[in-house]
Amino acid sequence: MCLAIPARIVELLDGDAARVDLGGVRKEISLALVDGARVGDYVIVHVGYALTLLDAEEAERTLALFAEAGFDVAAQPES
Amino acid sequence: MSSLAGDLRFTARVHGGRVAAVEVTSTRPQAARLLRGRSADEAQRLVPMLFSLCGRAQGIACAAACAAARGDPPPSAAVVREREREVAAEAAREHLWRLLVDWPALLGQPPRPDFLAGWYRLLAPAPGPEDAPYIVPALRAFVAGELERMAGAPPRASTDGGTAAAAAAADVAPAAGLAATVLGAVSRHGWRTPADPLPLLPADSTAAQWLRALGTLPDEDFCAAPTWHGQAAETGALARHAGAPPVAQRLAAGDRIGARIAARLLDIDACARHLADECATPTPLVDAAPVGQDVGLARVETARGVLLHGVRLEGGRVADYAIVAPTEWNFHPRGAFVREAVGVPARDARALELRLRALILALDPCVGFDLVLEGVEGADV
Repeated sequence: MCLAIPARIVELLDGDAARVDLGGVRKEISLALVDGARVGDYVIVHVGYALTLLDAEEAERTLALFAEAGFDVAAQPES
Repeated sequence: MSSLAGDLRFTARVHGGRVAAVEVTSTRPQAARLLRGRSADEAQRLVPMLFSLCGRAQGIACAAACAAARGDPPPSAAVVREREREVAAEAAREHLWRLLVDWPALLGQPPRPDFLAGWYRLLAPAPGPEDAPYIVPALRAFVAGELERMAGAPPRASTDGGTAAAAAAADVAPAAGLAATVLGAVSRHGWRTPADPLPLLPADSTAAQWLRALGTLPDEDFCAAPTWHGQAAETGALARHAGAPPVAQRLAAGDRIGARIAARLLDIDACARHLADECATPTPLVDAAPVGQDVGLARVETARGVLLHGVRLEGGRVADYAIVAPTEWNFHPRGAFVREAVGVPARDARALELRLRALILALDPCVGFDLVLEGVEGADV
């Protein structure tokens, strides 16, 4: 199980890099594998790469489902 | 670092200049527990979110298992083709990630996420019938070129200049040679498996055959440490392509790490053929069978190996759920990793760490891991 938790892009950095927010935890990731990501979009992150771009509605639905399932999203360092 | 998503810890204990014992500790939670009490629809929405790497395969397995449990009629040919394409594209992306990013990084070569990004643009989302005719030849040409380089042949020029397929290939052409370079570096290390290898899991078993072998829905103990007729076994690309010459030659030489890399390349070709709706494997990538009333078992061939989902429904809700994932086969306490790590020479901590990390990457766990070496001089991992 490698949770597919949406992280919100808060800042675009040089190159393909971006800063994301995952339940209050911020980290730098690469956007090399997704096209057209903007600040405010949500992405699924794996080992430092954004794998999938989600729209905000889909991401919020996903986060609500995780919360309902009892996951502490902020405690997920890898995904 | 431990997380709710779980991880693996491998502890290799060295004695007498060799790895004497390997312990695998898993904190991977049983995702199936989260699904109990939910409606089948909720379960199908939740499952892909639990797995970032193989979410499509997991979601399709859940849907197929629930449909079998409900006694739904078989899916239409269009649904079957769509599922095969989704699973094949996801598997190809995973294989390309290992070959273009993870393996070069491990071997001290520059990882090429930019090359991977080129393929991702073509393979995510899974190409439909309109795009597949352009993408499939590019993917197959990539594999053929790498296999030719591995065999020492000079790469051929672009296969069909002027076509859209060539245009798609041009987007990803800089990746050419990288997988062959990785395999060459692995070969130069001369790693040879010290023990008799583990059996390979049959790669052509249908869900119905799994059902006959298991007898019932797998229990939690089986999900955590699965066996085939009582024995640990290896699943994945090697199990699917062990008989193919580039793989078989390496197996015969005892180079099982190199064999697994070659098998990955062949698996990318099989994925491409699935994307073209060719029957690239003797059994479909996805199938399911009813176990009895309200119980279903689904099987999906993923990049890392066979994935089983079993479900028992009560009044339309999940009463019991089981997931048997490839990582639990290959990192079983008596599985392929342990079998091939025990006996490895351990005179030098750095060389030992590299070899064990290569073996782990060849078997490809789907979560993060820690590697701990005990009893070897200079070990700092």
